[in-house]
Amino acid sequence: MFKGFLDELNAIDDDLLGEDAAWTGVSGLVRVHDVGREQAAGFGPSETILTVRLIRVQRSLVAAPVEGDVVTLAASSEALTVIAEPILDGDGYWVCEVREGG
Amino acid sequence: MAVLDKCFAVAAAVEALLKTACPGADVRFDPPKAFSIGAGGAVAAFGGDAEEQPDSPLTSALLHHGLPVYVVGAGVGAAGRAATRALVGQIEAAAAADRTLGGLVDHLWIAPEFSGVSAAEALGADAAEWFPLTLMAEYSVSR
Repeated sequence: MFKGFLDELNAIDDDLLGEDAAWTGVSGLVRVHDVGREQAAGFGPSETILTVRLIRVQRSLVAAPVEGDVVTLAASSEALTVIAEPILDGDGYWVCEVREGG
Repeated sequence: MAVLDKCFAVAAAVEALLKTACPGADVRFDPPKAFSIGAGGAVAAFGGDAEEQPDSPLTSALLHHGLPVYVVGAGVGAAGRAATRALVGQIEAAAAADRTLGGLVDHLWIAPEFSGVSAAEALGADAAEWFPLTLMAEYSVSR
């Protein structure tokens, strides 16, 4: 029952906050969440600011994303490359670290 | 020159040397806050420690002052590492060209040590690989 609620919630989340994108090896467009922010990270005795970019996508839309996949955002045509092994979160979304460029 | 005056003067001279050696980089000394890596890379230097040598004379002290410096070039992967190496080379050349910091110290050199890069990492970003080196200055101060 709860999985059904979660699926419905995720679908609404995708509709309202997601955007269309093409994904390597997946036919048609999928809904993704493009998350960008800056974050401080430590080195030696100090910290530097890194620009963080993550793409979240439902597992039901992209079953097995892998490092090297290219995600092309439909609206902007921006291409992003997955730079690390994706991590599955507790809500059924793959969290993919990406770098600008295809 | 008194101990603290000399140590601060050496630190300031090292900061000036780094800024001259890496004109396109964001060079910061004892940065109190996190900062971004610019298009020309970045250099972070620190005051470090000055230690008296045991064979110092009674009226003055011979100090070995190690100033940690971290260097990172712009870019990721091989391009980023090449940019970092280029900045390190510029610092090496600047130190070799002015071994006395304009007469302030007896000798300046880069410590022949390497402890691996210090990577700043966050989920969703390529790691920024900071290259550590230590600038060593030897000089005397009055007691």
